[in-house]
Order: sequence, then structure tokens, then C-alpha cells
Amino acid sequence: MTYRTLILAAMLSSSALTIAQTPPAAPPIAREQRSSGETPTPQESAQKFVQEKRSEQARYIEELRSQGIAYGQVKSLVNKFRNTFKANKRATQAGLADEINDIFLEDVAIELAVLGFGPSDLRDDVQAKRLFDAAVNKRRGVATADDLTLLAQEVVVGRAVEIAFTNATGPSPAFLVLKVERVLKGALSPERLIRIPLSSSRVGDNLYERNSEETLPPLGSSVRAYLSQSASRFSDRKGRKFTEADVYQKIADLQIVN
Amino acid sequence: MKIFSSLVKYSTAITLMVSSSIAAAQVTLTNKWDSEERQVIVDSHLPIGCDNATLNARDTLRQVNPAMNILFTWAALPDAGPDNTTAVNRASFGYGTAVVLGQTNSTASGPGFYQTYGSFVDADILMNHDMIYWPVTTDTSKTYDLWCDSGEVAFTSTQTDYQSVFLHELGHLVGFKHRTDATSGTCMMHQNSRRGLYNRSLCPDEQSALQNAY
Repeated sequence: MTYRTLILAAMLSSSALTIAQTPPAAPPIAREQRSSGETPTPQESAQKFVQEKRSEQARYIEELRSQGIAYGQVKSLVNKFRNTFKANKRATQAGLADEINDIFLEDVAIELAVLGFGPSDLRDDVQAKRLFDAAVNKRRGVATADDLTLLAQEVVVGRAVEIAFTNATGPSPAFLVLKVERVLKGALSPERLIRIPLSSSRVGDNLYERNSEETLPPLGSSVRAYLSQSASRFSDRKGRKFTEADVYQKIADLQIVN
Repeated sequence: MKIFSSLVKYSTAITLMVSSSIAAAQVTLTNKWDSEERQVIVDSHLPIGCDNATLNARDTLRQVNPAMNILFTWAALPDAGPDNTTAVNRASFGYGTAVVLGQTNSTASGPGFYQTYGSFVDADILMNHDMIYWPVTTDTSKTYDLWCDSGEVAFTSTQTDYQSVFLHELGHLVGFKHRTDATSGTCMMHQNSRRGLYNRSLCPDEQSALQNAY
């Protein structure tokens, strides 16, 4: 089949593609396979995951302890809910069920500690379970508005004013400047200007790194933000921490409200 | 370009080129590569059970436009990238993300993020390995993990299809932005994934944009 015929076949079948959710008939495409040297067993892949997560978590725990946070107590209180989980199939096949369960609980404990919750917040069993469930949902990407409100220190609706950088040119983190209009939780006040760090950034003159899944609200739009100033003081993916009084880290993607 | 199973980004500038923006009513493909062939390194620590989903997603694009030739090689990628990332931005990292490096027109005004990139330099895909391995609750109907069609378990209504997510991120990698008609739906570039459902194909306007671009 010629190139043009291939394209025509794809276009003719496009409506069927949409309805039936199956790809159109096409000539077989040669598929590359992994080389034998790059074919870890399921257990090796899972062990690599465990190794990377432990390394990442160790860095966070070190940061928590360096800031004087009683992380050990937070972790032991979170461990009360250990029996809430069962291993998924991949972990079971790899024989790492208990290890991965522990890693997940560690993630939840770190999440709560980074967001500013301490032992006193977790002593009441009912409150502790609510916080635990909210943190679990957040780590799974299924947090509800109630979960995020519980976990956030500040919940505001504001107007996206500008994208600000710390330098006029060259590499710089980017911040969304938000003018607070309504305060749904916390101590911020209307008219206050705050800066929210973005994971997207400027990496050089006219050169930008854009996280495709990070919502960038159009300037002038109204935005709901779930924020934590506590979280802003811990390293983000780029190893950046922010201690300025006007900086608040978002704990979930920004939501455009109009 | 690289695809990571971890939450660490490692990018290398590959190519500088100029592209024209191709905009449809609801789908935008603002960048394109300078050739139809791209070598993409896949982190070998992504579970082998997800290989078919990775290849199937790539093949979906190639079936729409056979001129596109994305060649995968597997290699063990380093734990830390050159920017020495130390931790995760725990605010918002879902099932996957594509990080795109773009060059704006030097005479353009306003923040570069909001502009059509004049040059497309590099793109990496990060698949959230947490979502691949996380335990389920004792209520096994609530799994919420990334599901690869590897025969391990049946697809449930609370899981998210890896192939659909990977196809979406490949869409960013070849230059697509999110659709503007809705945040969720059956098309490749809808912003939100749908648990328990597949998004393994391109809608007609996405197919046209891809065929016109390359």
C-alpha cells in the first residue's frame, strides 16, 4: 500500500475509531523488543521501585527532622491504620507486599507531616482517621474537595494576576501571583497578593519548561486554590524551598472557577 | 527524549526547530519535530507487563500517521537527573505527565508559558510509579492504580488504563495541548483520565491535526 492509501484508510475509519474505541486495520508494524540486558523480572522492577522510594522518603524524613518535626510520632500514629491495605497483584507477584505497604504508609505519614500536621492532630482516633483517609486519597489522586479542605491550611478563591519570576532573564522558578478575593479557610485576607510556585519554569532566556499536566490559569481568571505554607518549606521536585511570607504551595492542581 | 518510571526528570536538549501552529476548534498541536523519526528511551524499570501498552500507544499514533516513527529503546535511567531533584512536588502529579521544553519567539510579550512555542526542544514523559505499585484498600473494588493489560488482573472500574495515559502523554510529546471542549471524554487529549474506561484512540480532529503536522 502506498503512503497516500495508508492515510486514506486511516481517515475513512476515523468515525468507527471514535465509536468502537478500536484502532483501524493497518499493515503490521514491526515492533522492537527489549534487549535481553534490559529485561528485569517483575520482582526486579518492584525492587527498583522500593529502592527509589526509600531513597526519596529518606530525604524527606531528614528534612522533617532537621526542622524539628516529631516525624517518628506521626509515623507511629499513622501505623494504627496499617491493616487497611492489601497488596496489589504486582507487589504480591514480586513478594514485596509488606515492604510496599510500609512504603505507602510512610508516604501518607510524610504527606501529613509536610502539610503541617503533628502528633497532637492524630491523637484523637476519629480525627486521625479523617486525616489519614484524606491523605490516602490525595496520594492516590482521588481526593475530594472535602479531603483537600481538611488537608490545606488555606483555601481561597482569587484572581490570577501575573506570572512572576525571581530574575528578569535567565533560569528562574515561576510563580502564579494570585489576588485573594474570598477566603474559605485560613488566615489570609481579601486583597492580599500571594505567590504560588509552579512546577513549570523558565530555564533560559525565552526557553520554558512546561509541565503539561499543570493547570496554568489564564491571567484574569478566577481560581480556587488549596494551599499550604508549611509544604512550601520542603523541597519540591526541583529541590526548591520557599520561606518568603507571601509564598504558599498548592497541594492540588489549581481549579479555574470561571 | 526519555520516559521515566520515577518522579525524577532528566532532560537533554535535542533539536531546535521552527514550527507553525496548527489549531483546530478544540485541539491544538503547536509544536512539531523536524523529522518523522524520534528515538525515545524508556526506563527499563517500568514493569515488563506494561511493555505492550507502551508499544500499543505508540502504534496508535503511527496508524493515524505512518510517517511518524517513534523508536523505543529500553535502558536503565539514572535515579537523579542533572538538576539533582531531591523530592517530589507532592502537590499535583497524577498518573503521568509530559514535561515540554520550548523556545518562544524572542519578540513575543508575556510569559512564555502562554505562548505558542516557536521551537520545540525536548520533551520527557514521567509515569507515576507510585500508581503502578500502590496497595489497594481492603475493599478491593477500590484500587485506583495504573492498570497495564498484562493479564495480571482484570480491569476494574476504579483503575486507570496505563495505555490511555501513555497515549495522552505521547500526544503532548508530539506537540498537542489539552482539548478545550471538555476536561473529560473519549478523545486522546482530554485533560482528565477516566477510571474504568479506555481512551485509546484519537478523535477525528486530533487525527487530522496529526496528519497535517507530519
